[in-house]
Amino acid sequence: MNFKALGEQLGLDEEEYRELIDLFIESGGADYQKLLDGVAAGDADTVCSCAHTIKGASGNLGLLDVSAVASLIEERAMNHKLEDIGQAVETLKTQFDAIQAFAQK
Amino acid sequence: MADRATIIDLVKRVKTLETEQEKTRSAQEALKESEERFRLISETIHVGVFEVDTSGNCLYTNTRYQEIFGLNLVQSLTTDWHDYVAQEDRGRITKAWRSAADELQTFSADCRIVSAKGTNRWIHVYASPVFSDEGGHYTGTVEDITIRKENEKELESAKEAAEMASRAKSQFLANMSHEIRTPMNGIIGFTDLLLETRLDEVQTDYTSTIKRSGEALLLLINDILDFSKIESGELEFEAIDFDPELLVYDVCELVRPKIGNKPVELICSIGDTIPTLVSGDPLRFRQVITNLLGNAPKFTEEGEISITLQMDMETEDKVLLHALIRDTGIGISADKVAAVFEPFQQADGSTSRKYGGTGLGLSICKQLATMMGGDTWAESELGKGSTFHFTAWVHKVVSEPPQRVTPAILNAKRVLVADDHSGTRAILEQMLTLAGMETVGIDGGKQVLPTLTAAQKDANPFDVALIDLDMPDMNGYAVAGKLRAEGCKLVLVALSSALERDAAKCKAAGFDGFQAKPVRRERLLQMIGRLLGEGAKGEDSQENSRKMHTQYSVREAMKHSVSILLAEDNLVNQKLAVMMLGKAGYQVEVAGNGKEAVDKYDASPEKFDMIFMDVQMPEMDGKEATRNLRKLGHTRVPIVAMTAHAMKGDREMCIEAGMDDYVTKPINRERVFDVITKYVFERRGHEL
Repeated sequence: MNFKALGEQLGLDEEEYRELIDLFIESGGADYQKLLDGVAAGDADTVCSCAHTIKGASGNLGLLDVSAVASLIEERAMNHKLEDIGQAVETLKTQFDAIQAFAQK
Repeated sequence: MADRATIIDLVKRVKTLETEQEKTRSAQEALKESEERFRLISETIHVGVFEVDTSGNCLYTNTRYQEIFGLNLVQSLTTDWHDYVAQEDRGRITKAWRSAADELQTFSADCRIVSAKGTNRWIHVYASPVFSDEGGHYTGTVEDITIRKENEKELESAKEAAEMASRAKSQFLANMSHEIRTPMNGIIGFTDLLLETRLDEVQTDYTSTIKRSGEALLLLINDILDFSKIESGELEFEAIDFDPELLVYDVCELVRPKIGNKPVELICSIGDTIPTLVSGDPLRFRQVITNLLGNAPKFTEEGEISITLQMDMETEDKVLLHALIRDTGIGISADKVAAVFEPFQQADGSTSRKYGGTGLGLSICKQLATMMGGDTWAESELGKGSTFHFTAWVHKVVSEPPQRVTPAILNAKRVLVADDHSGTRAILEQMLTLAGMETVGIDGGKQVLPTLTAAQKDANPFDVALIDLDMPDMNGYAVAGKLRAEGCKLVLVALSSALERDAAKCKAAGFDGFQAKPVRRERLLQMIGRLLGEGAKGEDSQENSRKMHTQYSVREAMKHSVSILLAEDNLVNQKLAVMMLGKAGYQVEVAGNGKEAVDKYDASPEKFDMIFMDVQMPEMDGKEATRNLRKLGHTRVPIVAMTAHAMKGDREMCIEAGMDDYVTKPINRERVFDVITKYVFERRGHEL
């Protein structure tokens, strides 16, 4: 991950981009938790809307692989196929952790 | 006879010989003495001395020379001094020595040597050519400068270490500030969200306090961050085109609420030589002006605060802008004036307790100004107020900058300005006169009617009157009411520095237009132009059909900074949009959901030029919010959807809900700016 290059795409400097990433880790983390709760409760609407939020924010930040996974979850939740999203939710978690680890370097 | 003569001759010659001998002996003695003196000097002197003949052979060395190189006399005469130069300097020194010898130049150099005894030393060699009949040879000195060099090196490394430590500290501070800023953003963002939830009164109060404190802390951190960035040399300046006049007016609007209800008049005067467009860093320029102007209300309880922007110098490609910020506040004593620009210094230790502030603001201003090639300074007298100055060089814009347009209709029209404040009157008179109008100023409300009547009688009637709402002898509402009661059809424009604009009250009193102080030249002229053009005073126009012109209803006709309402619930997207749009010079206000967006827009529709609307939001989604806004009668404001659902039919659904266009997420800068251009600038252009 190159924060400088990702920031430049948005016309921001690295520091500003980092600020956004930090905010994303925080608020995205909260969304992710809500998504997990939704999965546990079998509440497809909540899962769908949380995945949608994560998709939007990560996409805006240029984190396209995160956005793609979130999009997959959203789509499946929309079709009420919660049983098929386990793997994707795991992937999302891994991605979050990786971003967080990278940001703290 | 001959013998005698011979004897005498002989005696004479002996005498002469003796005299000669005596002379020679004393000359020899003198020579010996001189040689002895030279030897003594040469042997006791603390520098090495040597002599080299034309072909490079060493003719003489003194004891010190031999000591430095660790040689005995014979060795010293059979070797060259540069044979002992250390490996790392040898190439350079040999070359320099040869070229000096070739051209019979003076030679002077510092170098390292390894003496015959293996000692490392630093020496300074100085040799100058001596010219004689036999050609040129060199005499030189060799000085042992080992200790001096060591000291220099120590000093250098100490200096480097100190600078490194200082940079590291600034860097640490910058990092820390950043690290603090991030969780602060979280705190403030989530506090905002918390405020949106159902809270009782006490909870709302506590939460608001958290938010306010958080914001204050963030400001402080931003100051520290700026300061440490400057210190660590990390601050970069941009070169962006901006309009200095617009910038100053924007800052005035920002600062005006800080005056509150205090009897303080805010005056803004822009020199007419100020270019419409310059190139520089508007953010930093604005930061300095905001800081200087923002300080004034803290220290001014009554009187006036004025900002004047003028051009001090002009070169082929640059101009020196000079902003003067005057107030009639508490002032600063002479011995403290200079100190206010020092970091962490305020005029008085108690100042920060009473007036707040970090004590960094002015110091940052000074450094920013210096980096813009200018300066900041202050003049002040205790109890009389202060004047702060700020100068900065900015580049001229190469392409033809837009000219300031003045409606032609204003030419030769007569305007009456009624304001008790002489400063404001002077600025308005200057503005209007420059626009080609004939201007008459009076300092109270009571004289308005007599002045108008007299002019009517002289067959030289007025076309427009600008009337201050807050005059001590007779307020503007009363004046307007009286004029309308007398059947006067003149165009009336209200001027007010009150924060709350009461459009209904102005309209009821009979005003045609309203301008907030400090009055913006462009807005005022465009409004008067429109009012005159419409013939609002026409005989057949019905009194109640008269449309009230606020300063914003003519907004489309003039430049101003574009203000955008952003409805978006996600904190990341909010922040990103604010950063992106803010950097491009737009003003952004955020609404956390559709309902908030409707409330915000409906409360002050004049504030916003367009709305970006996220489609999926809690409480009320973007489509519903748009439908509500359109239902409330806000049919003209451009609403552009921002959505991550880039699915077929989405566009139709947005348009159906009353939106003008849509952009898909991820947000693409160019696309966003294109949309703003399309819906704000071009539309504005068409309506002109």
